[in-house]
This record gives sequence, structure tokens and C-alpha cells, in this order.
Amino acid sequence: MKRNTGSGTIAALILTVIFGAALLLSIASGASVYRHVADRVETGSRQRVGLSYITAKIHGSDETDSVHVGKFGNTDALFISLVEDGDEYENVIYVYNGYLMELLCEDAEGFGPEDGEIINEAVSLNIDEPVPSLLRFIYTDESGTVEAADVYLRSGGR
Amino acid sequence: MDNRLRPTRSGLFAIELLISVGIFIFCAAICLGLFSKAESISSESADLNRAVNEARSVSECYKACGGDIDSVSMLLDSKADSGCIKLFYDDLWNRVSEKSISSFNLILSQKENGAVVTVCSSNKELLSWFVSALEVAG
Repeated sequence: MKRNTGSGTIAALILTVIFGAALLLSIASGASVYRHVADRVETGSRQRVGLSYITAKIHGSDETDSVHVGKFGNTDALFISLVEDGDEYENVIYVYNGYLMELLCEDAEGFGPEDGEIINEAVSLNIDEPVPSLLRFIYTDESGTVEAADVYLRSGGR
Repeated sequence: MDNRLRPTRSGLFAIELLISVGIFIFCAAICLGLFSKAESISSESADLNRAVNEARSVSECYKACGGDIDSVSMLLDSKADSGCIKLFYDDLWNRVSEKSISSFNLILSQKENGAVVTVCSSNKELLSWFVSALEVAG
């Protein structure tokens, strides 16, 4: 009669432990990769909604006398003139009270920064014109990341 | 009398378990490889995104200066050397002054009727495009 030494049980136990460890490792690895990818997607999306939104707006409306920078309230703002069905509108983009905001109106004179629509969370937007027709945007997003973009106005601006 | 060794029940169970674990580890290895590739693609995509932003800004400066490389270098707070401007960035895309501590570099090289903007990481080229020198408006 063969004696049962228990080696089969130990081997099964070791294999089960290896199985469990491999399972945990793959889950942990997958979760980590997913977190990194999601973070990067969010960062990319923040950039697109922030600076890229502003630069795309300029490129889409870069006509003579239609783009200029100035102050709206106490903050730097980008002013874009639009003509829709013969009517003139003004599109103002600025950061106010922790948000990147946009105001579309006939004349921005009668409005304040609080009247705009929220686009995204942001800390600040500084706009400079280091040489004629070149706008330099320094944008700080809600996470505190500072990004800069230069946009050359083909139309020459205002 | 039959003297052949017969497998025990626990032995059969161990073999079955071994095969299952082997299959699982094989699948896990494939998954880990895919995770690693996903991470690498995501990282490359983020770097390419930043590279495009930086190259676009430099190109806009070049156009604004009408192709004058010295004016561009002043605007970018750098030095022009034989018709070439080099900018260095760390791994978080912050500007750094020395090549030795940089992970990425951007090179603007003056050519006839324009310039070529190239962005490279430490081991490969991320992008390269030609920028024509426009007349400054006004």
C-alpha cells in the first residue's frame, strides 16, 4: 500500500499561491497602466479645452481688425469680432473667478466678466504682445500647470 | 499482479493545476505585454502632443519675425548659432538651459525661404516640419 506523504497537497498549495500572485500582479499592473493612461487623457483634454480652444478660436476668426487683446474688468482678455447674418458680435475670452469664460454679445461694454459662460476651470490667463501681431498666452490650468502658446495673427490684428 | 505505478488522485489534481497555472501565466504575460505597450503609446502620445504645441509656438514666432532668426532667438530667449536655434526641455516639458539635463530638444534651422522645426527625444525624432517665412503684415 502506498503511503500518502502530503507532497501532492503541498505542491497544489504552492501552485495556488503562484496562481494568486500572478493574478494579483496582473490586476495591479493593469490598474496602474489604466490610471496613467486616464491621467494623460485628462491632461491632454485640459490642454485642448484651455489653450488649444483659444488658439483655435483665433485661427478661425483671423481677419483684418477682428482680433485684439485688452482688459475685461481687471483681467487680460481676448476680443474677437464676428459677423453673423450681417450683425456684429463680440466674443470675449478671459479667466475670471477660477474659470476660463467666454462672453458672446453685441457690445462687451455693457457687460462684466461675471456675465460670461464657463468653459473650464482655470487659474489665470495672461496675454502679451511681444512683437506686433504676435500674441503670447500664458495659461495656468486648475492643477497649477503653466503653459504658453504664441499665435501669429496673419491678418495683422488690430 | 500489476506492478505499474498508478497516478494518485492528488497527483492528477496537481498536474491539472499546473496546466491551469501555466495557461494563466501565459495569458498574464500577454496581458502585461499589452499593458506595457499601452503605457508606452500613451506616453509617446502625450509627448507628441506637447512637441506639437512647442513646435507650433516656435513656428508662429518665426512667422511673426518674418524669418529673421536673430529676432526669433530674442523672442524665444535663446541664442542663434549659424542659422540654428536649439531649445532644451526636461521630461515635464519645462525649458532648461543645458542639453545635458534635457530629455527633449527643439531645433529651428534656417533654410531657403523658411525654416525646418524638428523636435527630438533623447533617442528618436518626434516631429519635423517646414515653416515658410511670411511677410509681416502691415
